[in-house]
Amino acid sequence: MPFLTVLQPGDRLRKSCLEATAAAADLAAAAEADLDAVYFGSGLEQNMDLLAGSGIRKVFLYDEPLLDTASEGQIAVIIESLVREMDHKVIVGSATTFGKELLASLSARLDAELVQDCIDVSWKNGPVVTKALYGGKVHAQLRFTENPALISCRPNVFPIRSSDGEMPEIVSMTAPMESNGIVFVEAEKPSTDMPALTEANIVVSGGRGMDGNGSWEILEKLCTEIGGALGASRAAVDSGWIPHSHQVGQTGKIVNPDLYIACGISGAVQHFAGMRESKIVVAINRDPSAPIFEMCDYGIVGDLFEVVPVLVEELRQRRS
Amino acid sequence: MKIAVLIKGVPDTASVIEVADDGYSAVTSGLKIVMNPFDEFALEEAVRIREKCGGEVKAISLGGDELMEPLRVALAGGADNATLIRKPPFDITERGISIILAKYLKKLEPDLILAGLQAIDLVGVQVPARIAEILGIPHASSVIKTELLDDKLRISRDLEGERRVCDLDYPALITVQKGINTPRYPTVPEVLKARKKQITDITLEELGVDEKQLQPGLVVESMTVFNPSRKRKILEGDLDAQVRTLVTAFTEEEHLF
Repeated sequence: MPFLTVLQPGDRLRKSCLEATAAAADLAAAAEADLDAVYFGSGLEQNMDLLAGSGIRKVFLYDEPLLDTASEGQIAVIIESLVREMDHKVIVGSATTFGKELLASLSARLDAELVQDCIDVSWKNGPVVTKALYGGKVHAQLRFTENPALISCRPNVFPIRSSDGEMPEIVSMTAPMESNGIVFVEAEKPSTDMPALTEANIVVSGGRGMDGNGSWEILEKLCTEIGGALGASRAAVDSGWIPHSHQVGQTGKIVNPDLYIACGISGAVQHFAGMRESKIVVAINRDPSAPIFEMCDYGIVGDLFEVVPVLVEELRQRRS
Repeated sequence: MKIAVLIKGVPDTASVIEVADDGYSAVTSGLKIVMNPFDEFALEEAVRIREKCGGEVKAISLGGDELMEPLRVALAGGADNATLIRKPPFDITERGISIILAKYLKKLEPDLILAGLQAIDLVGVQVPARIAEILGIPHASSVIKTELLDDKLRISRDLEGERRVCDLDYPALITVQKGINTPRYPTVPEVLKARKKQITDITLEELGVDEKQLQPGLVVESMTVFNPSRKRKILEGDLDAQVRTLVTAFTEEEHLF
């Protein structure tokens, strides 16, 4: 029985979907199963080269522009019939907002178990996954005892396979799109070129030490210099200095970049819940007793308004 | 409009979580259980919608006595009444939870179901969508704005920075993201009044749920406390020296760029 990786609709293949595909390919190889993929919408052709060497055998392509903006529920109906026809045993997707809602919808339609936001997957006579619980304070290993098993992979955890090697076969599919009581009205793409917070390799976050909403340009400059995304602590968001979409923490985004730079963030336990899995943590804070210094790899005790410009300049000089 | 709000109880955010001696469960007994923070936004949105168009807001939880306090908080926050569905004596997964809640909601027939985007403890992120799929009603997650049209609900969602607007037919289910509103603080009279509001108890038998449907297809293999080891190097020297050391560490020790 084959496995399935779910590629999200849109005009580009998300990095996080390629990561989930790599995790699915490893599982399929361990289980000696074939890996299929399913893609919706009109954007696959210009992205095909990204799927070379990905381990995918067949891509089931529903090439229909209307599907670019379909809801998760509408797409789950189509995947359900594909899974029932092909008998996919393990179904993997990316734990983005859209991906999680899609897999949750699909799991209900298949009456199957689902574990969201996995940070590790392996094969032991069935899929075994690791998930972070209680704000990342605890890691649980869970084993599926039934098929199909549904898994969503946390972005930025699983390395992407190099894109050379065999190209998958494309299988053109058609499916009627049902309204399902939901109608797309409009979408507004993000206005910046910054990577999505949860998918960024580098995150630069500001906290209470930012002292207002007029000073974030200083962190944006650092983001631009190193290709990072801009985050914030709850204190900064609740003060109205920056929109909630930037919040990292228990009631915000959970990120795990290679590098997390916390500027003027004291390090409340609720903030750690959002960045605990970051590979390298740098703290810049005026207060030498701030808890963030207990949880960082590199700390600079100082005023972020003095430190950050020097850091930007140093990075710029090293690169040139 | 008849509105249902799903309320989950979670350990207080500052709780210290330990793994039990058996190595595959977390110790949660004795911890203070509070309303999941995201559910506070769902409740507030429900109350605001009721204030606009009339109707009733019912808070619904699944669990044991530890949910009584979060449900009282929901009643003080504006819910008209509450229902506590008693969980079965064995472990169930989010699939089982969804089956139970959907069974109850099918009988209740609300026009709108609201829930928080996710629970901060187990972060299952699936119960609301599963319920909507079982009930066969439209659903949307991560909602940051609602607007009542004549016979539809217009919502805006936050999808990784993209803002997407959709219209949903009733009955519908949405999960709300932080930022959609600022929940009110209940006044003392509201808190006192909430003590008198009714919390209905329902058992699985009364609901008519077949326990066989609830058997988990997932087992916990192990659980471990996660404390990433950090270098905790506080850099020394003047500012220029500190920054130079840091950038050198980025490239030479951490191989970041």
